[in-house]
Amino acid sequence: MSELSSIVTVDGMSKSFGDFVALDGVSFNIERGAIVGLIGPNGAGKTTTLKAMLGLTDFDGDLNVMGIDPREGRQRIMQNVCFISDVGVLPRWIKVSQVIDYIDAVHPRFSRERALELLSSTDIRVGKKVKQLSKGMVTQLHLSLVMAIDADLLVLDEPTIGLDILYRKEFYDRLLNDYFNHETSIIVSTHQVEEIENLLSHLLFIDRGRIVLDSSMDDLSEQYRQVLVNPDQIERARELGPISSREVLGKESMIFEHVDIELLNPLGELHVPSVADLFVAKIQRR
Amino acid sequence: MNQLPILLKREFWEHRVVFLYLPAVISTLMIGILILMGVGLRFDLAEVSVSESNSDGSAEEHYRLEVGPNSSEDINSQQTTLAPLVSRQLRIMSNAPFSYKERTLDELYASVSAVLLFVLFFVIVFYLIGSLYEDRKDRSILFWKSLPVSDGMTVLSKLLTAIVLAPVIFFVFIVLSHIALLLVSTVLALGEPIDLWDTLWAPANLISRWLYTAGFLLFWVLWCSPFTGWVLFISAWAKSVPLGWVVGIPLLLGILESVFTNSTAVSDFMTTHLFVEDFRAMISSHLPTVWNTRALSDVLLEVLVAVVFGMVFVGLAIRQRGHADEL
Repeated sequence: MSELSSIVTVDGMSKSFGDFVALDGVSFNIERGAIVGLIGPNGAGKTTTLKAMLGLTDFDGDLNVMGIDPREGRQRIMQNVCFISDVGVLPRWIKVSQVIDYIDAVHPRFSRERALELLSSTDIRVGKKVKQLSKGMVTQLHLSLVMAIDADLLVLDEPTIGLDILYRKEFYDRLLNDYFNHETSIIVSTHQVEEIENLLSHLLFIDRGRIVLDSSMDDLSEQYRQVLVNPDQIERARELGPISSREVLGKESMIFEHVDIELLNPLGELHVPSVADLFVAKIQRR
Repeated sequence: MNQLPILLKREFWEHRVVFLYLPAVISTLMIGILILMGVGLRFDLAEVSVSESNSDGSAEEHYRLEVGPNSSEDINSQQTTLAPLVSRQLRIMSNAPFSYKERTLDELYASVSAVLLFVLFFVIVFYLIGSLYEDRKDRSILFWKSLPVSDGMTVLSKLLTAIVLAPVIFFVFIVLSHIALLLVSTVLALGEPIDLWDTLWAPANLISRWLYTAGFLLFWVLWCSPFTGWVLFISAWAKSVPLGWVVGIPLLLGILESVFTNSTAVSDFMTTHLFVEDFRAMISSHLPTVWNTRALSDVLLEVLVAVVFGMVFVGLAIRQRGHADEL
């Protein structure tokens, strides 16, 4: 976790809307080349966190994106950072050809050729206006535009919300296969954990404005164990303090945090918990 | 990298309807109506007469145009005569003094300018009101702000669109309409025994008319800059009904001033710098009264004050845009 390899450092970031505390001392780092999932229920502070990183909203605390405080240098940050918000932020009146012309003129790291090449594999025609495209096509368009920018950090805020499963799957496939190159970092927020579980290298859980889990996917399997507890071991298992416990097909399934594997082995069948199960366990616990 | 040209283009793309189609349609309609009137007058219900003037009447009364059944000539004769009103009017014109020709043509050309400039005023105001508000409302601000364009540049592009791009386009349409009108009137007058140059071309004063209108547009922009800046700021700041704030706050200020003080300085400043008082001067070749009735240094000083006010509001608008979020 050296500072040098971090592309984003957040330290004690807070923000309130009136009485509502949206962010309550959020701290985390994003390493260069990481794919970070920012997972939380609705209203947990995901969007506020991402917007703060982009200079799109005010906050208290320290935040540094590639050496720049977003409150002071949104324009400079946007030279190196791309952002896709949920569907529907592309202006509806604009033509595909116009949005390409526009980005080409204002963004030094945009490649028109790459954008046209990416679009040619879709049904989107450059003469169309955004409002003539379906929801899924608008997201395809936005992704194609962003993929044509040679950025250091890609910020995705619920990019596939409201899309059907085919578009959602295609979105992440393209992102991983055509874009990700281990130099670009990606942070993606969602509440649909299952979809992105397999792409992530790092996991952040956020709930009610606080980070409740911050771990690399590799460490996760060391720290968290799911045990299908044998009926005669339930009392012993409870004594070890599971962070969650629920009945699955007549057996008790418990998740343990930071418990020695030697202690867990005798209890029953051991698994690495899915991100979704872990999410439920961590969020319910609060 | 100079982003301004593409930013202005962006504004033009978004507002093509009001910046291009609207003046084009209005110009075409006006010219079309004037052509129909010119042609229609030859066949229907209109007569012209040269009435006798009172002994001390002004020169124009000699050449008064009367339209309709009250004409002094026999009504029945209209239905049989093909003597076209236009040609009679032209002959009257050609014999009239030059100042009368100027005055008659001024009504024609100035009304064309007036309509376009009147529309321009509303186009600018409503463009400005939406300029930093609509993209917050439809959330596309998240897209625009995700590109490396500074807030200052964004606001500047909106300002320049309102005070340069839109006036230039409308000015071009004024010039084109005038030229069309000149050509149409010339075609209608072909074959008449009159001096076309002396009757229709020279008294139209087109070149000086255009120079005055251009100069006056420039003056208008500077004079009204507090209003322009104010609308931009409200557009960047308002969370809803920007038009209400644009009008409401100055109105409230004016009321408070009249209730609590004996002064009208604030209201006067606000009303004066909303419209140019002497609208007529913009469209003809007159100097606005503000130039004639006050010392030049006075006027220039007030323009300077207005521009400073405008710049303060634009600065506030840029600041506000920096904190702006989707609504």
